[in-house]
Amino acid sequence: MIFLLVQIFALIVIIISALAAIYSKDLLAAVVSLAVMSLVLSLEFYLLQAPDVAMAEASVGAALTTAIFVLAISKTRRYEQ
Amino acid sequence: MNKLVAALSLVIILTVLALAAVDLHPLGNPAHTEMDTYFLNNAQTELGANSVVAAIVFDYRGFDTLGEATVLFTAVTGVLMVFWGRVK
Amino acid sequence: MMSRIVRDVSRLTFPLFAMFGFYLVAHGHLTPGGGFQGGAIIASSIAMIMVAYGIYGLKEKLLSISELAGLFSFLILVYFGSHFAHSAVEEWFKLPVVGPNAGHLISAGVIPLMSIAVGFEVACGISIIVIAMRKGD
Repeated sequence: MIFLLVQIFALIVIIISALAAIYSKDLLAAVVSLAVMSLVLSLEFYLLQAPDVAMAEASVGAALTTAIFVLAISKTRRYEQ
Repeated sequence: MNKLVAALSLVIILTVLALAAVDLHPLGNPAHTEMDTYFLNNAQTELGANSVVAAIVFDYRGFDTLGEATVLFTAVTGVLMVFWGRVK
Repeated sequence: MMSRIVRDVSRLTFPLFAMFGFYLVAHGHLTPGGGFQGGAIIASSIAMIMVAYGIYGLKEKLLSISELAGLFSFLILVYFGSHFAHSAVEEWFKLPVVGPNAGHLISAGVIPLMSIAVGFEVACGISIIVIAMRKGD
């Protein structure tokens, strides 16, 4: 029962952070929203008993993609126009 | 007119996907299990690896992992060509 | 070069991240994880220390040569260690016996060596991507 509740919570957080990443005009906030989405998605993978995929998703999606996007934003504009 | 076409196509796609989801195979009961049971039964005694995932990724399907490593190498080469490859 | 807080926290947590990555690479045949995940965690720790401190003193040519070495060692291990040539590898290189000591760190034939090769390649490749993006043109 508690796993079902945690899964429902994780899916809701995933959808909310994905919508925030789409609709925000601040690109840095969009990147942080993507990192949150990836982290909660890795929690969902872990709950579905796939720890390998959870580790790959957490390290690649939440750390490396965020670092590369932040470096790209620091060389271009921060706000969408 | 455009919105009507979009709504109609959305309804059709949702109906087809819902029908497919109703008819989905139940989770945890695979249809063909010969290869799965072979891997689960023989991975430890044949290869000595406790992690069946590692045994499949690095030994039974080693050439797939080789292709994945080659894809990563090609991606790194492309990025370096974009960033450092311009003529000074 | 970022602020004092970022520099100190990244300097304190860098050994933990790097050690966890090396643990995942070395124990790829015993626990969940393996070459790709461990290499990605090592690369993310290198990216963190690079974002905090800058890229002075990093040698890109050494990293690219290391990535090439990782790929070629994995190629050689795949050729020699595929399922058909398993007994030949054990006879030539005197690798550990794969059967009776499953569960120990030194076991499973060529699987940990391939995991280490893949981890080497992934870590060097992704950190060289981040270095190239940080350095620019």
